Amino acid sequence: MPVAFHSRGRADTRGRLGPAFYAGLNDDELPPPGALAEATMRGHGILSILDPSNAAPPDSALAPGYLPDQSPIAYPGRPQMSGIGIADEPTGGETMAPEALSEVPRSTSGILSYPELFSIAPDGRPLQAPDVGQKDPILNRPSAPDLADALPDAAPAILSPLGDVFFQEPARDAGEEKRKSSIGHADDLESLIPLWGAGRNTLADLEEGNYGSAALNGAMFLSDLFLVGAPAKFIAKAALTGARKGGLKGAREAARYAVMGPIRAEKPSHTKWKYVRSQLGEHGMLEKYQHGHHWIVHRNEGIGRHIPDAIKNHPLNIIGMPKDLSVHGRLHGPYKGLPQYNALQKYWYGTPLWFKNLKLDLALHGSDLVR
Amino acid sequence: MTALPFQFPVLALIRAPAGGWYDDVHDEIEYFLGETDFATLTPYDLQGDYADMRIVDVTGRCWRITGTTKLGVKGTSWRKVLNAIFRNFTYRYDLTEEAPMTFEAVRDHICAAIKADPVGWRDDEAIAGESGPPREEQEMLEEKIERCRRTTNMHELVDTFIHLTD
Repeated sequence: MPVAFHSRGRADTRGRLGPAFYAGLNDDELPPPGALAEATMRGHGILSILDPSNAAPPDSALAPGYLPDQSPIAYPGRPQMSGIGIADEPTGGETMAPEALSEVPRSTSGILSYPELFSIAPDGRPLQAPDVGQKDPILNRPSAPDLADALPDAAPAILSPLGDVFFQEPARDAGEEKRKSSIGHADDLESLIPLWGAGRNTLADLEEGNYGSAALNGAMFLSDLFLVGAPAKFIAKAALTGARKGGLKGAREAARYAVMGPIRAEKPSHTKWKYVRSQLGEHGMLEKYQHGHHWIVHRNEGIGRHIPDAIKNHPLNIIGMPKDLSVHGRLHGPYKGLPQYNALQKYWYGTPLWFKNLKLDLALHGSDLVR
Repeated sequence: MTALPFQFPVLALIRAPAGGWYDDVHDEIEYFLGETDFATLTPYDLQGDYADMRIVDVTGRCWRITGTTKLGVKGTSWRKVLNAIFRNFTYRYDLTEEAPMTFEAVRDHICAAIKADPVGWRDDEAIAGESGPPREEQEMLEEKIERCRRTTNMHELVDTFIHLTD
């Protein structure tokens, strides 16, 4: 009956934990050299397996270089390994060779680790590690105090009925291991969903303690919030104004106007600026004496002259101007002795806030994708 | 839709209720180029300006709208679909003919309506100098009124009015 060992290296000088592995105790259940080499290559392990009689297993079961005593096992070209674990009997139970702990050398990779061995039953049930002070049934001495301290918490133990050797993924170092949030991060595409992606990432980052990333995602969330909030506020304002005039129906129609504008108009007269301007006032999108500027498609300039009224007079193309008339005037040219705005000023004064925010939002999401 | 008794284009003289920028009832003027244009309304239109509307055609005959009946969505193929989406319904109007208006009376009504509503008739882009030097608001308003005053018949008045709304 094979017995498997679950070995886990102690934290090394960089605070990392070594890998766990399982191995059968019988000759033919011992980990193949490749497996040991793999553990070694990961730079975590100092390990060895001894059989209950403390006799060396046949050379065929281990790689060349195995030393049949408890001295370090040497694999050609590999860091040095040292054996300390021992099982008392094939069916389970555990014991240690505490004195061996003091003999554990530093490996060539500079890792100082103490492998703790404890056995698991063939059915995969992990057995308890020896308590501190418990007598070693074979060596008849107390187990090492620091051994118990270093034993890992309930590591998963998997052993096939045939005693196959399994390697557990190398455990991460406590300092290096990222705390996983319960919320989880949004994936790349999900993170592009306004509010949801950035909001989820922010909460996940906060939970994981990544405050820098949380700040960036928080900024993106606020940017999204404004981006979504601006049109929502625009529509809601129109709906409220419509509700005051025509109740629920008025609210619905006004909200529709905010979205569709004169595009929905069946009447040619309803696409004209005179009518649209009145509608913008009626739906609370322009104040009584406020100028409306056609910011994407100009009304009577350039290509705007050839664009249908229903499109260029759409509320989305109209931005309310400040009370100071010179602001609107200087977007188009010199105004009453004041020079025309330069490109940057035109961008600042002549585009709605939501548009500026859209660009910021796209930049933030783009950088997040790259990151 | 039964045949309408008037000749298009027609002007609609509306007593619009208070709301938006307007604290009180005020005069609005619209125009309709054809039957479809005239008979297609949204429910919102009916609750507002269209509740009290007088129609004047190019001959000067005048009708008051006393009631409406919703006929549903009209149009062919995609136009019908669009009208359904946009809730552009076709209505039948109950019309009561009133005493005809003279051309001068209609013209004066329009001029008075423009004069009384400088905010509604403001051309923001022209004032800002979009396509030329900046204009003065009052000067532009008077120019509009003057253009209406210079018309000599209903056809000309309607055409001028349509251009002024651009």
